[in-house]
Amino acid sequence: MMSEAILFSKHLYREEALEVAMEAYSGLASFRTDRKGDDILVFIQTFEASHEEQIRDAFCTHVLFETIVKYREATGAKL
Amino acid sequence: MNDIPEMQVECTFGPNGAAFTIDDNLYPLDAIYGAAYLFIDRCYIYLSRPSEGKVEVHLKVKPDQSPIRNEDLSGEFCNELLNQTLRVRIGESTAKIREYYMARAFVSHPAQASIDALLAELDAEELEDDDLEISVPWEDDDE
Repeated sequence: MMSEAILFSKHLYREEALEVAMEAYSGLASFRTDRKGDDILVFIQTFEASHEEQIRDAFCTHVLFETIVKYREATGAKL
Repeated sequence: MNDIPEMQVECTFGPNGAAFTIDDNLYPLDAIYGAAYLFIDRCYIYLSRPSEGKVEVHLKVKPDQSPIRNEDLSGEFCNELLNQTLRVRIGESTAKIREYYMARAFVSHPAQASIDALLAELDAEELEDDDLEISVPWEDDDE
């Protein structure tokens, strides 16, 4: 089941964080990415439809977490 | 009371959580990240950019967490956002003086000299007589 695309703004999310999160969730869903200007569209196809919403939410949160970690590493701070 | 400014954080609530639109001129991205990081174990969080200078924060409590009203959740987040913004602003305004103190600490006083001084002070303390004159068994043997 292909859900609607999630838009990750380049201003708010790091592309490498998105890659790390997609790798982490590769056992739960398959991913396809596309560009919309500078931003990235991610299409998620979960392997189990019953958990689709939870996986989407958790995936978005994971991307944000990785972005924060990488942002802080880049600015000299460690978590 | 007619001159109260318009609230800069707009909130919407729904069955799937709360959403805020924040002006990133007032709340820097560093502060938004800081607040989001503190909520990441309790909530699902998604950020979007509806327009230039705006950041929309979507919060949804995780199923394994105790339920909380969306209004309370958004209020907690806004308070934390303010706290983080203040931390960022203070960090920026005191950056120069912190750099100055660090530079002075490293340049003015060589580290080895400080360590030697501390060791000498410890040696001196150990060599001092006990003011209370408490008898110690091994001293009796010597006398």
